Amino acid sequence: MRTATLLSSTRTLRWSALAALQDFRVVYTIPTWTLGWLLRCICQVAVFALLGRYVGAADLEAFLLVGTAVLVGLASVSIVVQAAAWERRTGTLPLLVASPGSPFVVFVGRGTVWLLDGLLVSTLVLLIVPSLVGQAIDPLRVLCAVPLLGLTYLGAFFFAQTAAALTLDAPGARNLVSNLSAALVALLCGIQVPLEAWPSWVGAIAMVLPVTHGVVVVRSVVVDGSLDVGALLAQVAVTVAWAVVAAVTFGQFLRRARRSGRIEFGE
Amino acid sequence: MTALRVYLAAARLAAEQLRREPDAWMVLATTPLQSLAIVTILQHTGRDDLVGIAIVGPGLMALVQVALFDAAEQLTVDRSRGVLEPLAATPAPLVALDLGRSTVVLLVALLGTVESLAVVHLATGGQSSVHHPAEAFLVLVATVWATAGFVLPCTALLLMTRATRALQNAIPWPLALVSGVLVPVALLPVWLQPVSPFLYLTHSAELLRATTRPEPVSDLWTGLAVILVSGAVALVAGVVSRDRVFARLRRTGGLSLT
Repeated sequence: MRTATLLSSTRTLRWSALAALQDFRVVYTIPTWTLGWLLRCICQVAVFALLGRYVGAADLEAFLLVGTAVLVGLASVSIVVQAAAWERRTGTLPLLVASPGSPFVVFVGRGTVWLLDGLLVSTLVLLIVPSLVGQAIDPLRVLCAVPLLGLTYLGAFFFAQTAAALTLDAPGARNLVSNLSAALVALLCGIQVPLEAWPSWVGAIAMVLPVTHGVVVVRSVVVDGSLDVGALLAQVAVTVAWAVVAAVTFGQFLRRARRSGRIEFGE
Repeated sequence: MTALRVYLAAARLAAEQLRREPDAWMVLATTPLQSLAIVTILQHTGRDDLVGIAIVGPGLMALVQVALFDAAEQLTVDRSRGVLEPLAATPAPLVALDLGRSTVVLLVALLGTVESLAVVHLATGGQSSVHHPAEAFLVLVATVWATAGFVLPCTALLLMTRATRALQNAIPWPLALVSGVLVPVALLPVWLQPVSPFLYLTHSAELLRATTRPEPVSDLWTGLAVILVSGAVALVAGVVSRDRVFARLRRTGGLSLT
């Protein structure tokens, strides 16, 4: 019985991911992704790397370069909040809620393409920008950090899925929630602002946010050439925790939606 | 008289649309956070002397981002609702329409600078971060004019493609990099620096940064003249290029199909 459920979920995940790939191809072609999205991210990261050089503090340039490279990928991952609301706009959400399968698996599958987009753009930016701004970062270290970036974005992915579940009842707020949650995570998780710059209570909150430990691990590999095992384990724990929170939040949304019957077909 | 009527009608429509569609000024929700991030970095590293860039950078970025977002969204909506065809056919002066809309959109976008100013004011414990407010005001007015002009050629470009949203996202950060919105142009890679003087935003950013320093703002009038002329040139280029795009699309019959 469990094997059958697992197989069914895997199939759902696969088809959802393939459907999301088609969505993605509507949004981007290879030229618009490269000249639009990638170029924008390269420039954004270069601006902040140069800000680090302008300020002149030791190591700030590399800190901001790596942090902002993580940030641009986060922007992609955050699109899962909007993507979840698209289900409502297209009228497929009530069908998902009524289906005997797990809609959460569908939403995870549909979001995978944005997770991979974030990982790809962030990796490319980390490979390209150092040579653009004259910063010595070893491309091999960047490649070694790719799985760690993936883990970091997985945490952000489940955080965004939680936000998506909370905004499915209010699809008009999807852009605000997506942008604000990504901006707050960027501000408080040590991505651009060192954690020591905040009061200790902000630092305590940051410990349970989805990318704080991941950024530390990625920086340890890319900048220092070592692996911060403690931060890695903490990132794994935080990612699992956010996965559970996302699943529970989706479950609550579904129960509420079935009971009240308030999900209309289309916005 | 017709031009004035069109200008006012466009301004009213833009105000109503902005009120109903908060997505158009979503950038203003994140601008204060960006200012807070930059000012915190500067204070943490002991560079309180540079806090002005936490106002100038995010403020100018908000201006450009809101203007471009609105242009692209308006084009997308007009295209989907079949408004482009009557626009292409109307004898009304379209430049009055553009300027009417831009006036309202850019006034709203200026709130980004106000937000950044407020954040830096609070973060620095109420210290004055703008040492030359009158000069800063003049530069902002000139920058608003130049941005209104700059958006027009961008609109013509967006008119030629279906990838409106991708292009809308593509323009602001490359522009910010080459214009030195956050850092002086001298820090850019050498091969990029020759482009910077040709962009109005370079002069706006330099002058605005200068207004946040205690010493007098040098070359204010020259800089203002460059910004104003750049805006006028962009406006003319935008009108001409849009007319050409419209003419081509009339010929090919592909107005809503591009």
